[in-house]
Amino acid sequence: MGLSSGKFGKFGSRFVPETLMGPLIELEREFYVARRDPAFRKEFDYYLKNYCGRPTPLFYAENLSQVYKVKLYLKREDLNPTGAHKITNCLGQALLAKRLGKKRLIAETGAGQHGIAVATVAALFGLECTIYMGEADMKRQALNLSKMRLLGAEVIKVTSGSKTLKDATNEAMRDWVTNVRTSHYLLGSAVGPHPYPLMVREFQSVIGKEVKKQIKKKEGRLPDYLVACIGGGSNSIGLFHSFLKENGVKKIGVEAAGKGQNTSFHALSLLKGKLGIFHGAYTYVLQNEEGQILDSYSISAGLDYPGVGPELVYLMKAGKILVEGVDDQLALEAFNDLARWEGIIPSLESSHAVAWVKKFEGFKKGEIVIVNLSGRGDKDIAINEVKRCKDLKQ
Amino acid sequence: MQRLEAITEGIRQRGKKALIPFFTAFYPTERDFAELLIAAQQSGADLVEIGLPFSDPIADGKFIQHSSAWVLEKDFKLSGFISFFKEFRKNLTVPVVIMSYLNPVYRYGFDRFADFMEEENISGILFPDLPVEETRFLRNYFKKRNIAVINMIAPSTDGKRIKLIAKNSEGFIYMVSAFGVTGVRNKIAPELRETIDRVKSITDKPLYAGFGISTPPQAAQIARDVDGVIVGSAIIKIIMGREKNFSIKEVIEFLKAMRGAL
Repeated sequence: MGLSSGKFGKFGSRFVPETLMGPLIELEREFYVARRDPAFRKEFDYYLKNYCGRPTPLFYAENLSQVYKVKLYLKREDLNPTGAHKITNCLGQALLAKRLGKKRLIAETGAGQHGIAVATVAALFGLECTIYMGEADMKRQALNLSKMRLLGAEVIKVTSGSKTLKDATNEAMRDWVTNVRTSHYLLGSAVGPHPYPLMVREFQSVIGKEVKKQIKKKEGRLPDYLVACIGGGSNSIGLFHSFLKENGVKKIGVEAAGKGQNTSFHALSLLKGKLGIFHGAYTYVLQNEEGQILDSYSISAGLDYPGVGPELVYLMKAGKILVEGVDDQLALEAFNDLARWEGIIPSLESSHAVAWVKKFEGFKKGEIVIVNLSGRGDKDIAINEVKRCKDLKQ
Repeated sequence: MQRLEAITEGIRQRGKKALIPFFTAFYPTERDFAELLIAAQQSGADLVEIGLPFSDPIADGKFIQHSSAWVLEKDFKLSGFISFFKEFRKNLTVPVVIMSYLNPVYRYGFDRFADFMEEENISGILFPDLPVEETRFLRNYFKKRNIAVINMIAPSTDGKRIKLIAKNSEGFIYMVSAFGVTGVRNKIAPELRETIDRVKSITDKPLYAGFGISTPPQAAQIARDVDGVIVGSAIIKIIMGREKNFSIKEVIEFLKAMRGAL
């Protein structure tokens, strides 16, 4: 599926300025060579084990299982050194960038999790690093901004458009168009032009591979549900991919419904978007009748993106995954639930996945649910506090 | 339909280097845009390129980003542009090509858009986010109406792709004359000369350079190696920041200076 053509069904491909075609073809070629090169695999695995501490635990959330009335396991991607699953893809791509002789990494970031992961691998491998971050996101994620700078990255404020992830991605792509000879664009999600969706999925699929082994060991069987949030789609495709042939395992992708499915403040690219060409891919995107891209909205910066990975579009259309929406309010409730019952502070992104489990009423007795806890929530505590104060006032 | 190949070949046979000014549709206003087109025609433009705005123009630098955002802010609608153009077309004798990112035209419908282009005698279309490999899926909409689909070659394009693009591009080949996005630059990329030589060894289709050409001396320098020059950001720069009281004379003087340099 989509290996050489860069398409998943009819979705994906690459729609980019000609300047980027050469570099994308070069990157694709190197990726295909590297993925079959035992030395590359070995080096990647070495860093996953020794730098990230993989495998991450699969934790049985016993307390919350009683509250939510289902057997709930959490894949603890939040325990990664940079606080989210993003580091895995960054290690893989940085190793590729080194093979290609690139001296500099460029990246976009929304919440800052991907930016920190890129800044981290840049420091680790001695590469220069420039991160583009929307002005609005800089304000809501001030701590992450400091972390990136501490790690030696240059962080550039993006003031165009909605001043969030979409515009940061535009600026990162423009930088790449300009500095393509020396720089690698380290795209953080399973979006964009081929080979990014494929490459990011391949690096992140370690999540699902580990889960499969871990749950078999703990329960002697596969789970009934896999649940993950969807922004661009890297953590969900990473979890789902190893289970795509297991039809008995239901895969639930949770998009951010923001202020509600029926408002215009959401990030429901799969549920409410239309087919279009955005950030280099033929995919679902939030757009108006004129084909202009709309601003998305979510309380969680990491889900606040109007596009989505083309493979998820393909899987949704093929009925292989089910897509649901969870709004800000419910996500915050799940955020607080997990903190109170398990002592785990999840990211607001992952809280959307937990929240789906909270609201779903169709579980049968003894069923097993695995939620990808893709990131930790230190960055979101202030947002939660503000929201709580507002609620108290009302 | 006036075929773009015939137009560009005609310019060459007259021994002229082509001057192709670029204007963002309805920037800064519908009326000013109309006047700018007329001004371009009177200042010796051989072809005009009309850019349709897009919310996420990743191939564009700050000037074209600004003009696009400006008109979208003022609620630009493709249907509004089409009505305007149907009315205005009779005033133009200079041939026209359109530049648009894929998504707005995709949403409007390639077939429907190609109909409009055919009716209004618009000779060619250029999508900055359409690589030659993907041109096939939409070429038929335009080909059957004799509308040229123009492809681009960049300084990073290798020999194999140059051949493919040279073979496919219709009307002319758009030579991206800089590493990077559109915009005003002081220097021309050194790799450019090499790429141009390669392209010319493969094809004799007209080669027009654009991206970063902002002064008459630059235009003169680059025109020695190519058949024409496309200039956009440098015009928008004259208007930007004083959209309400910019001087159309200044635009005309600039275009005449460019004309003189070619």
